[in-house]
Amino acid sequence: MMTRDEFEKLIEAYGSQDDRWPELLKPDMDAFVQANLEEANSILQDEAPLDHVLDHMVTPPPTDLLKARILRQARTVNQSLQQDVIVTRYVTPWGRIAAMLLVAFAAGFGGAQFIGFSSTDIHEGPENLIVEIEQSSESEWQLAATELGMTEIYEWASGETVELTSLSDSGI
Amino acid sequence: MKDMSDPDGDIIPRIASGDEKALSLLIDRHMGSIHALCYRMLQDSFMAEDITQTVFLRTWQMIPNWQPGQAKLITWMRRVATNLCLDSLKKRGPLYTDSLPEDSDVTPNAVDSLVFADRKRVVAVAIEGLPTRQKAALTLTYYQHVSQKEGAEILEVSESAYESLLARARRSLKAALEPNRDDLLDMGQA
Repeated sequence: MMTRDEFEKLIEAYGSQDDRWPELLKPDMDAFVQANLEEANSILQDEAPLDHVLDHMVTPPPTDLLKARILRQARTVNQSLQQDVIVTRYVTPWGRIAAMLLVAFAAGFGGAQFIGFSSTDIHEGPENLIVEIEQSSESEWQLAATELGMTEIYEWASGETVELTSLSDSGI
Repeated sequence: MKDMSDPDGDIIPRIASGDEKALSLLIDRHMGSIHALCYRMLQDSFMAEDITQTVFLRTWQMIPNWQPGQAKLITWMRRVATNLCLDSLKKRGPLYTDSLPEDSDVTPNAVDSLVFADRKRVVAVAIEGLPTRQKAALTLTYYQHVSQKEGAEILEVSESAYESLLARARRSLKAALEPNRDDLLDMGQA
């Protein structure tokens, strides 16, 4: 048989409403109430106001969009999980290492190409550029001038090129 | 394999195979309850929704490895929700305030509604002031109707420790609400 102290301790924890009493102890608690009606009622009445107050606390429902948000996120998670499964299922550990080495090699090769290309640009001096201008000029404007029969233009342009070359030689 | 001791045993295998309709069913069954647990713990609708979402996504990710017969799925979900809320409360620290967001209105009359809201706020502030684990135990018992065994399992304590958390929570609440006792007893009539 349950004692008053035991009953009181349980009511202090679980309150006056018997639907919250522990399943296993409920028969003993009910028996205590039946056997000690007045005493039990006084203990229960002491705890009832708090239960009454707690029962009136209403929780607002979640927004309508929450379910849709969860399902959308779950789909995204599912897709990334499937990709992981494909990688783990169909690619052996050696295959993954080989793939990583290949990527590293490709990145290194690409990097080296980039550095090589940049360094060619940097080290080319102005003299080379002038030679380039001269060479391209000879093949383009000389032909055009000859075709048009403008020998004067040809001579003038030749003079300009000589002047440009002597300027670069003198370091200006 | 279906686990008949778990109320969600009928849909667990379907969710594990990636069936979104089964996940939708699980959301219909438990979203309100998980959200209510988070809301009662945090008193913040936005945070409660975020944590509810995280709980379902974790369930979705974990369920292919679910071992039937160990615990009920909903108990596991409540434990995840409770732990996330406790972490969130730890990061947030205590709220030194006497005002909390208002709950939705359930009374028809405007004046009654204000009085009711005011009384509810008093109770909400008192609950908010409880130590986090006491608040968790109270929320699980009062607003989730979990058994003593399940509550202890969720908080990972012994059943007697859970009982002690509940008793201390109730004692603290009674003390905090004592000055407003008569007003609060009218809550049902307001």
